[in-house]
Amino acid sequence: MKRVKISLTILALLVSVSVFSSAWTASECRAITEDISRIEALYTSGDIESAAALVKKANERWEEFRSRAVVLLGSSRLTDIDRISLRLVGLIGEGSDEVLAELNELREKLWLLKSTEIPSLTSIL
Amino acid sequence: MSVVLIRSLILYILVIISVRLMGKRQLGELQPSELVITILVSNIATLPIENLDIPLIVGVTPILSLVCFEVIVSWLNLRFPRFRRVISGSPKIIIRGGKIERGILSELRFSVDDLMMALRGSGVFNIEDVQYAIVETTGSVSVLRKNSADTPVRSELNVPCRDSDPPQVIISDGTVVHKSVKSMGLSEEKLKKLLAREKLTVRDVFIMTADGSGSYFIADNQGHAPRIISGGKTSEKS
Repeated sequence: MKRVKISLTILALLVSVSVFSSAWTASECRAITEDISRIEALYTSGDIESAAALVKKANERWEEFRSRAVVLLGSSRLTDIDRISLRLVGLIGEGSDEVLAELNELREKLWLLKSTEIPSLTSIL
Repeated sequence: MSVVLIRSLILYILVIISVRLMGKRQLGELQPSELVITILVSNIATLPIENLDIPLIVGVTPILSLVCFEVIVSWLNLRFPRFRRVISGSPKIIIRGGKIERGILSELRFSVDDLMMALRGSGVFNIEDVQYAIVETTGSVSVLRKNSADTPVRSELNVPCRDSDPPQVIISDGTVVHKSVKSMGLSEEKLKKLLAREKLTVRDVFIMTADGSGSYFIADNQGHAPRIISGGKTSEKS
C-alpha cells in the first residue's frame, strides 16, 4: 500500500508539472502572438518606430520565457522561434520587406509550439 | 561531457529508485506487464543520457509514470482477480493425470522440445514420471511427479523429526545483528555469556549462527575450526 501511495503521489506531481507546463506555454505563446498582431498593425500603418520598440519588447519577453522553458520543452523546439525573433529585431530597424513574412512565420511557430504542448487528439496521435 | 556524467548519475539513481518502487516481485520472474515495463524503462533511460537536447524532466517523466502505472496495476491485480486474469493471464495445465493436453500445448505454441526442456528444467528427465504439469503466468513450468517416481518424505518413512526455522546469523564479522538476536529470543548479555564460556568476545567472532533448537555455530577471526554448541556441549568441526 505504501508503494501505491508513493506511485499515486509521483503521478499527481507529474500531472501537475505537465498541466503547469501546458498552461504556461499556452499563455506565453498567446501573449507573444497578440504582440505580433499589434506589431503587424503598427508596421502596416507606417509606425515603424513603435513597431520596432514592440518587437524589442516581445523579443525580451520571449528570451525570458525561453531561458526557463528549455527545462521543460527542450532547446530544439525553441531554436526556430529564437532565430526568427532575433532576426526580426534587425529586420524591423532596416524597414525590410521581409518583416511581415517573418511575423507570419513566427506566429505559425508559436501556434505549433502551443498546440504540441496542449493535449489534443492531433497532438497525442 | 560533465553534463552527460551528471545526467547518467541522476538517471542511474532514478532507475534504482524505480526498481525499488516496483518491489521484489520485479527482481524474480516477470509477469507480462513487468517484462514490458523493464524493457521500456531500460530503453527510455538511455535517451536523455545520449541526447542532450532532451530535457532531463522529459526523460524522467515516462520512466516514473510507467513505474507508477505498473505499481498501480499490480495493486489492482491483487484486488481484482478478473483484472489479474486480463493483465497476467491464467496458469494452463499441460499435463493432467499423466496425460499430455495437446490442445493446450498448441494454444501456448509449446512444441514437444519446449515441453521436454521445461520438464528437464524442473529436474524431470522422464515424461512418464509426470502426474501434473502447469505453465504459470510467468511462463515457468511447475511439475508434480507421480507418487511412484517421487522421493519419499520423512513422514512417509516414519522417521521422527522436528520442524524448525533455518539458523540465523547473529554475529557477522564482529558485529551483533540485533534484529536476528531479538528474533531468536536471545539477549546481548546472554550472547556475551555464551561467548565468554568459549573464551571469545563479539569482536573475535567472524560468523555466529543460532537456530530455534538452541544450537550455535561459531567461526572465529583466527581461522580455527568452527565450534558447534548444541545442548550446552561444544564440539569442533574439522
